[in-house]
Amino acid sequence: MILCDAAVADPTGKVNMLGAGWSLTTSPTAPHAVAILIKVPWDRTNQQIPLILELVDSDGRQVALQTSDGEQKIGGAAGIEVGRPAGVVAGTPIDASFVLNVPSLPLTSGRYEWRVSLGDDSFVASFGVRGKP
Amino acid sequence: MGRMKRGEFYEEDESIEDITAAFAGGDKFLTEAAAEPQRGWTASIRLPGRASPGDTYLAPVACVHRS
Repeated sequence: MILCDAAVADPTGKVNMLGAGWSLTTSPTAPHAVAILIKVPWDRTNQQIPLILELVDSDGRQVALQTSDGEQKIGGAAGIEVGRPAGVVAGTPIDASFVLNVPSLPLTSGRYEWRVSLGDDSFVASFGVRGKP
Repeated sequence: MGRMKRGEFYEEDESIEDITAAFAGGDKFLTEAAAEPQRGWTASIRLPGRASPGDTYLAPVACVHRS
């Protein structure tokens, strides 16, 4: 999982990224993207794998912001499913990717994590938000 | 559109409505590459009342062309 300034997932499973690899930002955060590069095991192909992405604070609570439609928790969910391309040797992991574009967020200073649950596994990408000097 | 040929993407007696519905539903593709199963997805968080990536807005000024 990589934090970047902007990203778009290619339909073939690749990700086009700009400004990738940051872990410190200011508030309000700039619009950014969370890119997830996935190697789907051969035995998990052709089945739906649930993907849940959440922004959590240093206490592990999901970040929620007030919007004009009420409180909204920051995150996303999807189900990914990849097939077995013709001609691929049996057992080959299959490339897949998921990108979540995130708008500017008014976060208080501190540590945060983008946490992704992918099937039975979970991964994190943490970052810090600087306070005003 | 260069790959579209009569008979390759639609039948002689297939209606325009059926052809367009097939393209819209993903049953027909213009290129072979597009027919490959998708393995990459892009989503965006939309926060009502806030700007999100990809949003576009009209400029707050009017542009007048003068010759």
